[in-house]
Amino acid sequence: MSELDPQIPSAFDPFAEANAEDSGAGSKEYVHIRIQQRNGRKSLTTVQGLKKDYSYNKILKDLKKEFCCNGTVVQDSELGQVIQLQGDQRKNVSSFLIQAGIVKKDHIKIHGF
Amino acid sequence: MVALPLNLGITEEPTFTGLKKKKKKQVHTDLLDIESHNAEEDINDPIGEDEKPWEGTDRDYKYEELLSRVFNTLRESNPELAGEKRKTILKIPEVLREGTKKTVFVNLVDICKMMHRQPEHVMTFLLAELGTSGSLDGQQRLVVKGRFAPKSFEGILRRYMNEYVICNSCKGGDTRIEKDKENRLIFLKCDKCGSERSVAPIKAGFVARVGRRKAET
Repeated sequence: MSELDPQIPSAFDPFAEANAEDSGAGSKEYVHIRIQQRNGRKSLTTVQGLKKDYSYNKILKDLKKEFCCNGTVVQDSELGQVIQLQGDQRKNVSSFLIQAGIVKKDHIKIHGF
Repeated sequence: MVALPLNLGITEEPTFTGLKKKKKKQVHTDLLDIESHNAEEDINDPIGEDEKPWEGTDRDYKYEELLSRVFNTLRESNPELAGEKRKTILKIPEVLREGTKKTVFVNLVDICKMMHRQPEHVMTFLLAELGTSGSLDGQQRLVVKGRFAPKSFEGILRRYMNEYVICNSCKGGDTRIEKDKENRLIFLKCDKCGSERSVAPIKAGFVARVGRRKAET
């Protein structure tokens, strides 16, 4: 019985701090918001790089309701799941993601004209 | 018959629209308040420091106080040496429309020369940011698919300069791109102050499929 005492893991987890820091600053997974042109004045907004744990369908549904636009989730072979929205929704999407707490402001990169 | 408004406390329509508007205003003012509050704090702090917070007491100078003293005296006596100049040689990008669906960027090669950059590098960045396809034609002009305003080109060029041309420490524009052979990293080396920093390679990103499906087989 006395043997088990030193083997009981202590409550202090030395890797906890490292893990928390890593997910915060080390991995640098950016969320890219891009825009593409379609015919006329129409455009497409693309959101790429969100964490895979999130339910993309729910996020998409909220985005569609919030901005009154259509959208879809596209499966890309290399880049994973990408959210596509109709119209120029870059600013709307970025403020939505920040307010919902899904992404932090530093992790968002907005591209495009 | 005109329906008299019964004051049952169920005044739906006026409060509904009122609520909606208020909601938007509240959100906006919250953000604005936070921003202006932060700006005010920032403005107030240096003004406070100008009154020499160390005068009354006997303590040592703090690092920030020393820094601000140095820069203030430098700015007063030798404004050029403070070295806060940006690259003010920005040429205006000239863009023309070619037909209805294409935009031509005429000055690309000239601007690249002013920045000491390879036109291909700048071109890759432009195409990645715009999200379209394009190519350099025989006269070294960049033909981009789509309709873009000159202002948008300016914005993208400014972003390119901030990330890939301007040195972070001396804000100078005499930089070179070097590829580190061992690690396959890309470094930005400044000629004026000699500092090096790593930059990310230009990745194209996700390009949604726009256009006709029948054209592709």
